[in-house]
Amino acid sequence: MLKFILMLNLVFAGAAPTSLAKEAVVTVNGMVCSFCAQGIEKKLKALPAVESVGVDMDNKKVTVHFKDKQDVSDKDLSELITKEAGFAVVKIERK
Amino acid sequence: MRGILVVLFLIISSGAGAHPVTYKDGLMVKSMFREDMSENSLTYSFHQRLATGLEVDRLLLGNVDTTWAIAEFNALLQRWNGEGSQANIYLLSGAGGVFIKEHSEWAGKAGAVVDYETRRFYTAAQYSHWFSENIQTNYYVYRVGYAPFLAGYNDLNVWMVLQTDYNNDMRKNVQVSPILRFYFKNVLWEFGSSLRGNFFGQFMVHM
Repeated sequence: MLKFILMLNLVFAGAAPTSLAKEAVVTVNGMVCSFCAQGIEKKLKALPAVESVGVDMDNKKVTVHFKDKQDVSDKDLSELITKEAGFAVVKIERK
Repeated sequence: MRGILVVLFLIISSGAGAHPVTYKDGLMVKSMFREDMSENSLTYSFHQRLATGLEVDRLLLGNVDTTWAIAEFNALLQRWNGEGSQANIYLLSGAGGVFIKEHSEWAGKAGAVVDYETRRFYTAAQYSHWFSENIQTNYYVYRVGYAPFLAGYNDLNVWMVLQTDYNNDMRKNVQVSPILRFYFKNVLWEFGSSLRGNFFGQFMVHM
């Protein structure tokens, strides 16, 4: 019975429409000059799921627009900005 | 060997720009020129905290013109990312050769950079030590900068910088230079002159 329920769960989970966010807004600490922030933009733009990237220096936010039906997890976004670009991620909001 | 050096110098000068370490897979090219000194480097950051590259420096030490070709290895020792600030400590190192007229010998370079920056204020201190069998020379630079207005990511950024530098072996060993610094996205350029009339220019690109 348990096996059946699990099977049903998997089937419906797979069939359920996924609600992917169209964009992620990342608040970044340490992003004080556009000369340095360019590294974040370059890294994010290289991701296949990313359509475009916007940088707002005043509010310390990076907006990542995803391609249709594509997404990048918070963990992957955070690792890219932290471990490869060298900045600190404060929070990620989905819209 | 001189020909190879000249070609290497030209390639580096015409390419891109530099900071000791940028971001993983970032390429930077820097070219700095003034009457008694030039620095040209091409640096690749293979890790967010580590970079390697080639550097060709010219130092006029007294009446002796020296050219240093150095394979460099730089490390970002520590970074502090604040809400509206960033501070860094970099270590610089390298090994190669120095060319003095027809003579050449093994050489090395070591140094450190400390910087602190907000969107309005910038300060940096750098120490560089070039050494070989017959030459030991130290170079100290201190900079303080101010942005007269806040520019956005897609705008031209303008900074006013005051640089003070000292080299124990140069004829003009202490120099104070007001400098104008501009950058737009990944391209930075600076120019100014020391109070003793020594023109200064620098170009840097991150790729």
